[in-house]
Amino acid sequence: MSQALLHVRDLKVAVEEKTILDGLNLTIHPGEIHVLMGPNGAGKSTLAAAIMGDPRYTIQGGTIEFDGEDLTDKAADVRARKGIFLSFQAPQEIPGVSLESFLRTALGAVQGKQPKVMAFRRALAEKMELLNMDSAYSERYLNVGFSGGEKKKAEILQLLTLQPKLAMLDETDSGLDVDAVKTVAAGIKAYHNENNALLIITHNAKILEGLDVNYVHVLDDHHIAHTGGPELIEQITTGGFAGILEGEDDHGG
Amino acid sequence: MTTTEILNALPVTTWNHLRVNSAPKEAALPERPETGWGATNTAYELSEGVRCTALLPQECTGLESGLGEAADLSIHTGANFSRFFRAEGESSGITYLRERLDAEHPNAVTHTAIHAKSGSKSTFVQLIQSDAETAGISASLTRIAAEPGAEVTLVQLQLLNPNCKRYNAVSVKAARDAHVRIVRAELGGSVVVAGARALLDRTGGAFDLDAIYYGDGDSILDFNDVAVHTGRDTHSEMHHAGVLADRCRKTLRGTIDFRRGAAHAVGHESEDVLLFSPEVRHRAAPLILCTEENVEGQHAASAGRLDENVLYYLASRGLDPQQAKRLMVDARFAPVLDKIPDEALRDRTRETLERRLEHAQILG
Amino acid sequence: MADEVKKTQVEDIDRSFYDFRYEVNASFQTDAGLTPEIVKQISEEKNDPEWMREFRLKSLEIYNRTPLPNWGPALDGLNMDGIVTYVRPNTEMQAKWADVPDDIKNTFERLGIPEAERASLAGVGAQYDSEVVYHNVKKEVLEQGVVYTDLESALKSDHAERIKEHFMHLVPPTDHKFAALHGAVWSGGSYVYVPAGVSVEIPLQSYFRLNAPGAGQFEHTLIIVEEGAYLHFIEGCSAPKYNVANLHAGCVEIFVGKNARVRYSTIENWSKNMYNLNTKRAVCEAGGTIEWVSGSFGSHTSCLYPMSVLKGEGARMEFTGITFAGNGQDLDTGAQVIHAAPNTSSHIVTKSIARDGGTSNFRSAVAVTKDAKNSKSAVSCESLMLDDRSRSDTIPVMDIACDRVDVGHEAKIGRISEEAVYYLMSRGLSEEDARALIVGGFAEPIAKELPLEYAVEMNNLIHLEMQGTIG
Repeated sequence: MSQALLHVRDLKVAVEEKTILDGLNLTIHPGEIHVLMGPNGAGKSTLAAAIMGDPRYTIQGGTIEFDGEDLTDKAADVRARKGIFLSFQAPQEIPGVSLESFLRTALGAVQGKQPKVMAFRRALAEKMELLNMDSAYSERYLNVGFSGGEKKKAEILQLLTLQPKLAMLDETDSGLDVDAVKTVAAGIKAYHNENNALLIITHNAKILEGLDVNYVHVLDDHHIAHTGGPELIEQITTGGFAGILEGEDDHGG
Repeated sequence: MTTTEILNALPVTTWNHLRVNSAPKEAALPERPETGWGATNTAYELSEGVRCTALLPQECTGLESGLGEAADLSIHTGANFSRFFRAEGESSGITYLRERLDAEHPNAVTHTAIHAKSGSKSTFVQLIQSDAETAGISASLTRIAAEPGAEVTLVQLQLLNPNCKRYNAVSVKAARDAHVRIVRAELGGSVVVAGARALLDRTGGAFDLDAIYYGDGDSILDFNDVAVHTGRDTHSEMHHAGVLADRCRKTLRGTIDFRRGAAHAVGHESEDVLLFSPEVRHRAAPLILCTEENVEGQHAASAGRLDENVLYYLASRGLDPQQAKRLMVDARFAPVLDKIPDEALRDRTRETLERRLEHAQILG
Repeated sequence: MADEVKKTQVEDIDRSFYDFRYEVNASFQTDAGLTPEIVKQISEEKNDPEWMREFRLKSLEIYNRTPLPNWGPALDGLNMDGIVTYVRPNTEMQAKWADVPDDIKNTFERLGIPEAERASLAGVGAQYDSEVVYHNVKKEVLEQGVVYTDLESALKSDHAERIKEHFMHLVPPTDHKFAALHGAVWSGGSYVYVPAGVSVEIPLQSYFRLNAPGAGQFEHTLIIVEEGAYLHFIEGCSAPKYNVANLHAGCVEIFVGKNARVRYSTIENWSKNMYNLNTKRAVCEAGGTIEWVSGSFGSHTSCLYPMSVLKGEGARMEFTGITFAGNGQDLDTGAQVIHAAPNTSSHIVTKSIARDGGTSNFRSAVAVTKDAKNSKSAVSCESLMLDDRSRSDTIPVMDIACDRVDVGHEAKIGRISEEAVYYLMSRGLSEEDARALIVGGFAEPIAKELPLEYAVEMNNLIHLEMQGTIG
């Protein structure tokens, strides 16, 4: 087996002194797709935020290792430059910064050098077409006045542009109509290859269609309570979590 | 001419202890020295469709600026440089008005009038610069009268050194369906007093003010912008963005005044200010006065440091804290800088701003 | 004009409900105007302690040298030499309505006060002209150690020292001319003391009624709520209409202890000859909360801007206000807040309605000192103009001396949307019902903060207002 991309060991995370995650372990290898499910409030978003380095979450114990390097104490921008990406549930609106100039700045930051303007524009136009985004959006201020669906597409556009090694998608499908879910799924598929990995938080099996999911984790009781293969998705969508979580008490993952 | 102490009076006064009823005493308009203001280093460049007139156009008189009548009169009578323009026809060119303060020409007290004839389109750029040191005074009174259907854009770029004092009085009158746009960047000076007042007394008249300001050190910034709506279907948009550092003291008064007769008038006003030091003083008095039922008026203001959530979002995309700050400051100013019609000037304004931000150690 | 949109013809509020009056049947009243002799006379009449007598005379000096405010509504109609500062009703304070003289009792009965007391209040105080005529508190509340009485009785009780330490410390006589006047001639009002940890579950209410023409009412309300305690205090005011100016220059001081919470609700319905120049102020210690709910409907002229001083870390203020001005009224209302400690927050939400030539202004001041790190303030004010003869100004000021703050402000002014009226009419409502519904909806966020009976009353006022108004 190749070297692990992400290695989370015995993670303990609190927000405003309330412990959300405790004793959580998770390993992701390049090329893999992991799906994270679990009851509401179990801490799925907390895990993604902790891996991204959201300053509102305190890591009280454990380590986050990425690409062989301990990032537990690193700021979010350092993690982003190392290749971690999070698609937010509620992306920030930033007036005065156009989507295009933002993407160029971010890509420059992640690559360590400014991209060439014409090549960048061409590549951007292709990606926007793939995502069914009107090209006029590149001139609009980032997320300002975007509908919910447009914001999510803009997040996937960033994913495709920045080409991170690990992409975490936090309920990127929520609030989207059927066509938009399909478009977003196509974007995710276009991103994925054997060198990168995905951690997808979702309630919706639709977004996973056409993706070769390797593992499904169920987060409950502050840790990953159950791990299985893609068959779990069907099981959970029809039967809920109760059947799966019954009798689970080991710290698996 | 004597010192003018009451500048930028708030159109409706409120508690005195809040110190917003007029500009502070330290910002008073100085008296003309007995020997006069001296020579100026000023120049102008006409675009096609714009010509100079010898006399102050009648249409431009009788209007008050945001600074107030006393200040207008003081600049008018004390001016060491006056220039009056008349715009006819549509012009895509730019008329430049340049002034530069230096040791030989420390003071420019200028009186400008723009009379835009019916249906004309014209653009004026006032560029106000200085050498690095001279503690000069730039006082300008600019009076704009736009006849029916005329469009006038006035871009004011003030890039003075931090020792200068700056007084910027603007009065605007827009006739039926006329549209006057002012883009104002006040980026230098130890004292900056600016006030634009627009009278929209005919149907369909419109006034836009897009203003940015930057203050650091111990500077005093004082603004008083007023849109008076008396005509039907009139429209005003006044938007301010600023960055304050060090011990800068800033007061912004913005007033939308809907008077009887201004049916279907619309006025929007906003201010968005970034605070970069615990010692800055930020005062704001955004007024909406209304004696007409059928209007839509709105004001929004926000002040504070950069939003931590935004910084985290930018960090998650790989920007370090300095890059994120720069991006956010640029974002604050971009909508206004983008309205500067001359690319070279736009770049120069950006550079001036960057230098000052670096100097104040906002961007390292 | 032929193309003029049909305007809503707005009639005056039917104020007859409040507009009954009785002959003045006073046991003592001062001459009109203000001299040291009159102040001494009031002091004597009240049997003041020595310090209070001196305080009154000192305040009079301040009053004489302080100019009228140079901003705000015109006060030209107010001739101070014509105002009678003290009118003692012909009764002692009673604890049973049966003991209150008939004319006074009838007044409060018509206003529904005894009924409200039985139904939903923990205690009631009622002031008629210059003196409190009735005071009663439920036994359970007294047993919790709560004190609710008129201020003058309290001054002669074992709370005397506490009152001396607090009285006009928050609103000093130097604050403005009418605060000085208040210091000189104050009379009546309430004293509330809630001991630490005590939660007064049902509200206390004071009702102020000014009956005598040409008189002033200068009641002082002093509320001290100790650590962790809770109190809801309701204040109501009204007066019959006379042709001469009446003056109300009361003062409310509220001391909110650590982690304590006070809710202060006011419904003001003075008659239209009243100058309502009232000063209200609260100071909050760490973790304390002050909530103001304010409805201003009456008076000729009002200047009313309750101030909250957020002195302790994490203190909070909320202000919810509605002002409804009609013909001849100039109502200048709003709120003030000083953030003087870290992590404090303020939230001001107001609605102003102006109609029939009335003026309804919103005025505010939000100050954040350099010590108020991580504080938050949000102000939102909305105005509704019902015709083009009225006036509504929005005059907010922010003064910020700290960079770690989040200060937001929004203001809006507008009219009843014709599209909304049309939409409602297309669903079967009459035009006047549609308009009343829209104005009611505009006021709704405020109404739901009011004590129920007042919310009902406010809705009635709005409906009355909008009825038969389509011209």
